[in-house]
Amino acid sequence: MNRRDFLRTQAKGILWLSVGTSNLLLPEWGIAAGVPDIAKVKGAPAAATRAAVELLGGMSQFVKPGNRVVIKPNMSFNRTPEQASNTHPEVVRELAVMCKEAKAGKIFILDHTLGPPKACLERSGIQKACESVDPDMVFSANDDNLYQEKTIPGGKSLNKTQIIKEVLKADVLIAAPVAKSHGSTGVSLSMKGMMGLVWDRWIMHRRDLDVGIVDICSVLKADLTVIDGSRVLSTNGPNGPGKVLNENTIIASRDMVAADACAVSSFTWYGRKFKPQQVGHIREAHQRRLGRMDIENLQITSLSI
Amino acid sequence: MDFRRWVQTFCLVVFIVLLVTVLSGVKTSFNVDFFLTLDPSIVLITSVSSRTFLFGYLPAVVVVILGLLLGRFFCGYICPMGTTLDVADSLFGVSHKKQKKLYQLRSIKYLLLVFLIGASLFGVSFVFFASPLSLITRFYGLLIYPIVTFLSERGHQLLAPLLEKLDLNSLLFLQIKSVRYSTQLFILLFFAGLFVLPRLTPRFWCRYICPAGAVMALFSRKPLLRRTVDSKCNDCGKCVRSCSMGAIYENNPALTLHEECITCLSCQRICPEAAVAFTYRLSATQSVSNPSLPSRRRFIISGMTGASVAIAGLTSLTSALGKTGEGRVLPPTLIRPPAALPEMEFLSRCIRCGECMVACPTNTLQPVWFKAGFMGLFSPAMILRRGYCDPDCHRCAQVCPTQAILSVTRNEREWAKTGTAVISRQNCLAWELDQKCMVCDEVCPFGAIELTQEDGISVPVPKVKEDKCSGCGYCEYHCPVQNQSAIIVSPLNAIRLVSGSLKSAGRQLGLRISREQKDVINYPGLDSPDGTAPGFETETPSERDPDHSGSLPPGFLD
Repeated sequence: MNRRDFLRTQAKGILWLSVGTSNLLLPEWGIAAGVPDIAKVKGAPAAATRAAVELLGGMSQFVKPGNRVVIKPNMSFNRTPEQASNTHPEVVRELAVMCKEAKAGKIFILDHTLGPPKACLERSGIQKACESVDPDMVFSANDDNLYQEKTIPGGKSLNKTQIIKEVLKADVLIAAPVAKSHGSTGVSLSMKGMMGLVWDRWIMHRRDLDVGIVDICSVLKADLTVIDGSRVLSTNGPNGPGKVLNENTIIASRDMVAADACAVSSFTWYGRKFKPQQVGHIREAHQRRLGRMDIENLQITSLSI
Repeated sequence: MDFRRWVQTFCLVVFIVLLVTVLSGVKTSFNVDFFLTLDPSIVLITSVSSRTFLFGYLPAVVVVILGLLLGRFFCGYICPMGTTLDVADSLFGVSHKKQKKLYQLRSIKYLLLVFLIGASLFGVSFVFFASPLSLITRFYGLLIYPIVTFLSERGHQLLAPLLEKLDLNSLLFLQIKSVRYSTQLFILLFFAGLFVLPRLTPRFWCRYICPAGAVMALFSRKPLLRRTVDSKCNDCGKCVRSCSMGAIYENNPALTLHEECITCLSCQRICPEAAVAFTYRLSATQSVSNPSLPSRRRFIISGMTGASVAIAGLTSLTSALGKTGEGRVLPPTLIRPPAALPEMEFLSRCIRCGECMVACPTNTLQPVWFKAGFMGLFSPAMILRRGYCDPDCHRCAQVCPTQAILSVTRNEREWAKTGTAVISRQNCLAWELDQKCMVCDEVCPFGAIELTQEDGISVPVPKVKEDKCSGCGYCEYHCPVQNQSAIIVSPLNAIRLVSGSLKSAGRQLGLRISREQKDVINYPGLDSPDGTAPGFETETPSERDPDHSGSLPPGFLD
């Protein structure tokens, strides 16, 4: 992308934003007028998660009674919550509780672990934390029989992939990644995290990974993204152990790209600041209109509790 | 069902329950390898070949001592191989009346035993070819278990739509994965042979071949409990025909070859005159000289043959005998289980029962064909492309009946270095194809992958930090390059000790293995203001393809 293209996109962004705020084209935004594009809350993991979702209008905006919900946290690594390779168990639990309060019919918390599934689910603390909500909810999908083929219309590097069947059946998809660095994609946030719902991740690496991530996100577009920045794995991600920043921040948005972009610019990575467009897949997603990375043009509500 | 059938069924069920305990990884204080330690041939040969007697071998000693009292009761009542062969006999065998008279073959088992002893004197154990408990454990563990998982997986798939409909999610996400093993062909053919042989005589294996049977026969020539025949006998010969071991003299049914008798009591049951009884006798009233014991000459010849084959093994090109150094040709891809003893000791102990492979939760432990030479046939090695070796797991060592794998403490476990990962750059997506990948770094539990930048490559490329690598194979397993991984664990710098601390051995080698401490990242350009961090792009991103500067066609100079 050259500067001219970039400026052009920015200009378009501003244009779209003005249309958006005028409630002409995006009716669902109109329902909750004054709802920010991004909610950024500082506080304890569970409380901040709840507050961030409330700022977006509450879980009932996303989950209707009887809906099937899939929550996609990071629980792929055999690491403890303090090591920040996995989403904080209390964030995941709070989301599950809020879905239950919104009378979700069925809630699944799913990931395709890289480490031994049982150990990952246990050591991440997520299984135990969610047990009291519903013992039949947290699963790792490490068996290809659980996946179903899905075509990706307009995919640039993949025209099909295999996605966990429960995700395809779900009415609502919630991305709940931890904020962490990633050796090849810079960061691993909500978009990169969607690879945890996909069977053949190998092929994504053999092709252009950034493009592939945007391809799968075009069919795995989260209705709600809640990024757990309670701890940020700032170096050595995604596995760690690395430098963990205790940021006590939760970022929520309806827009995966905006949430990811906000997380990139909110935290320091390897001891320095980066712009969202420095992350290949975020820029690609923005260019392909999956969402917006120009957070300077979006309404961000910050809160400390 | 008579008493013996009940006992046999019970023992086979216990054997299978223990095997299920092994494969499910359930922790128990009971010896899951109990049946293997009952086999006198395993204990005798392994003790000699490894020059060690383990406390765990005592059950076999008890079996042999009980043989003095009860004869070959083990074969008739307890041995899962015997029970399995009885089942095969009833399925595939012929009527006992039609059995062939092959009594001269009885000496084979003794000769085989002497052959094995001859080899073991030179520290080479071939017991895995003939030990009944090793073979039957492999039969159930490496052949039947995969079949059961395969069928369960298919069954689960058929049920899946129903489970989905009923929202039985725990059942839906059960994820039964069929296990896979190599060397199936051997087990298949071997047992096909064993199951067909009862067409000649029942219990062909037990009568003629079994070296464990041979040990017990030697100790039960004059057992306390033995068959006696009183004067009511009218030489009808019914018992001779019914005896599954051929232990009754054909021309004089009153005489018994006690070392062949498994006290199944069928002769007593079948005798129309009720002339047969099993009673306790101290004197050797009826005893006859053993016609099946081979001559001293043949004993010596088979012992020497065993020794010669062992030496042939030791002199094979890839033999592990001797110190490492120039001129050694060791298998380049042979990765032993974590904390396996040094190769020679390992091979002298390993009885190839397959317990470690059944116990392995990631199915990475596989029997090898000839990768480790013919002395290493069927021994366990890791195929890391199949599964990684979980650094929290050491089930293979916990179930090993002969301690061919060193048992280590929890905090020594990750120092059980099995090898070192090596990147083949020409296959690597980052090195060769300029692709963002870094899966090896992503999955490495030890932080043993260094991210670095190379001229002409726009993406970070991986290098292995040898001193941090534990050889667990996460990288090899997850590497997205097909079909062979671009990062492969080689046996380089594997730590293998007979005893002692793996950790201090590793520290002495200068290793820094740790899952909790990762090096501070040292990425080129991280400190400079216009540099970048791994995976991030510079603020004004250039085209990703490295710029081939110069406008001349290839081969021209300006």
